[in-house]
Amino acid sequence: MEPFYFGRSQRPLFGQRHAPTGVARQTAVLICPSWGPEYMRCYRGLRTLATRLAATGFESLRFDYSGTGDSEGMALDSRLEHWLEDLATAAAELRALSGCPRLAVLGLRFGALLAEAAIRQGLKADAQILWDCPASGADYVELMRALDQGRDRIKAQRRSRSAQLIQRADNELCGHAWPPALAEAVSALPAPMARPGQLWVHSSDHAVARPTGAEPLSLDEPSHWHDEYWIGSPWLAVKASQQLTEKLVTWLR
Amino acid sequence: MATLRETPIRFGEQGRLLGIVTVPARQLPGQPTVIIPNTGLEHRVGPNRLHVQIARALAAAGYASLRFDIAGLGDSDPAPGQAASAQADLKAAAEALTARRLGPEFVLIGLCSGAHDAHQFAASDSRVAGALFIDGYAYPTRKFRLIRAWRRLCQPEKIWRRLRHGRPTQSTAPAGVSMGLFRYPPRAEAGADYQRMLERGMHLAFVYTGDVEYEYAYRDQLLDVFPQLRGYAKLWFLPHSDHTLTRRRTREELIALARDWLAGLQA
Repeated sequence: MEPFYFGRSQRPLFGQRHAPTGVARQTAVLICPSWGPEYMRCYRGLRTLATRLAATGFESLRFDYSGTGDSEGMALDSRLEHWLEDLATAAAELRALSGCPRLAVLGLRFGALLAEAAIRQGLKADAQILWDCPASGADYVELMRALDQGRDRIKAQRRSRSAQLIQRADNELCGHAWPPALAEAVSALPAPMARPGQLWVHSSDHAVARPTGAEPLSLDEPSHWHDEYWIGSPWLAVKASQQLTEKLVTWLR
Repeated sequence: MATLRETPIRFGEQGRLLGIVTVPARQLPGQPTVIIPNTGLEHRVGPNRLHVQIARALAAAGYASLRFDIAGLGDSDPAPGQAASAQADLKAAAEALTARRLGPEFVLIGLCSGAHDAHQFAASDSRVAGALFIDGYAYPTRKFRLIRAWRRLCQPEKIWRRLRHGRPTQSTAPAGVSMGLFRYPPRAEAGADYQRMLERGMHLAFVYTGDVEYEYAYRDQLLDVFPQLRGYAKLWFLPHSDHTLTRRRTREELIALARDWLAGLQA
């Protein structure tokens, strides 16, 4: 695993390259994380996945969108168009680093919606893996709002009247910056289109209508995306990573 | 011109630990470097990106810092065949910084389990010149018990809810404690540690948020428990904030407190 900054000098991105430990395969995997509390929750889990992929010969790159995680930028300046550029930059970086002729883009939750938007804008991907992809951007935003309100409700019940949490600003959501332009753009993200080379991965408690003919993978573990208690707890995705890696070994052959 | 530079570093045995060093373009001479360990199980970015924001704000004020993952969290691996030890990892962090000419003195900033790790390391390593503990150890006083009882009486709906639904299924213990990440030391032990830290000339600062009101109910509770801190330690009580500083305004408030406290050490 090699941590490094890459991309434009005005907006460097933080990435983790996971080089294959054995014989390298011909497909490199770009891992696109989710956003906000889901990003925090899945950080270690996606590392587990990348480590497993490396052990089976897949080179992968994990990265943080600008204004999030370790990447450069103020969260309040986040824009969807920046994140789409970031995704394309990361894809180019991974192609250059790995020398692989084929690229698979794996998006978890919001990352799947963002990868879909990047592909619609012309990003060349030989395979697309959509992991617990929300039905649409609006659906994702609605869930984040519900979780945020749910967590506030729990806190309000637990705290005394004299120690209530201050009000949320209009431009924050789930503890993260949520400027109006970003909110509008994310809400407008459409449901993914059916196309060849798609793998739809879903956790045992996440039902989403996948396009007819798309390759499915049902994971044995639940993911609890809709639970305001679980959303603050780390998701290590140990078994899910194992199942997904095993599937990719055959599916990306 | 960039006001800071962020560099990922691998350190510790076989480079098993990972952190981000943030160095200001103009570093204040002779100042300690700030070390920020993990909060709970979240990686080095911190809850709601708090650690990143602290590191960048401190860099803008001239302070270098390292925020890093202790073994088994984020991108750091446990030492093979050894039990995870945050103390060993903090020692490795201090040595890695010293090797990069970012020593020899350090200030620790820790939230929740990070405050516990910071306390334990500060108690044992004389290179620690200061520490800011956020929602760290709290011990009850008679006044605390009275306030808690009064608040319950003032909110009969809570008593009614408890009667109808029983005790909450979610633990009300500090998150790090309920997750088994750490245990509070006995009160006498913590007091002896603080005494030694003060005698060593360490600067101490404490922040308590409203989320821990079940164990910290009024501003001066810490000073009533440990009178030796009175007049020596800085103490802030943020009842309108939550444990992970979910609201941006509370994060900005905390960051300003930390920055001003550090500037005060320089003065």
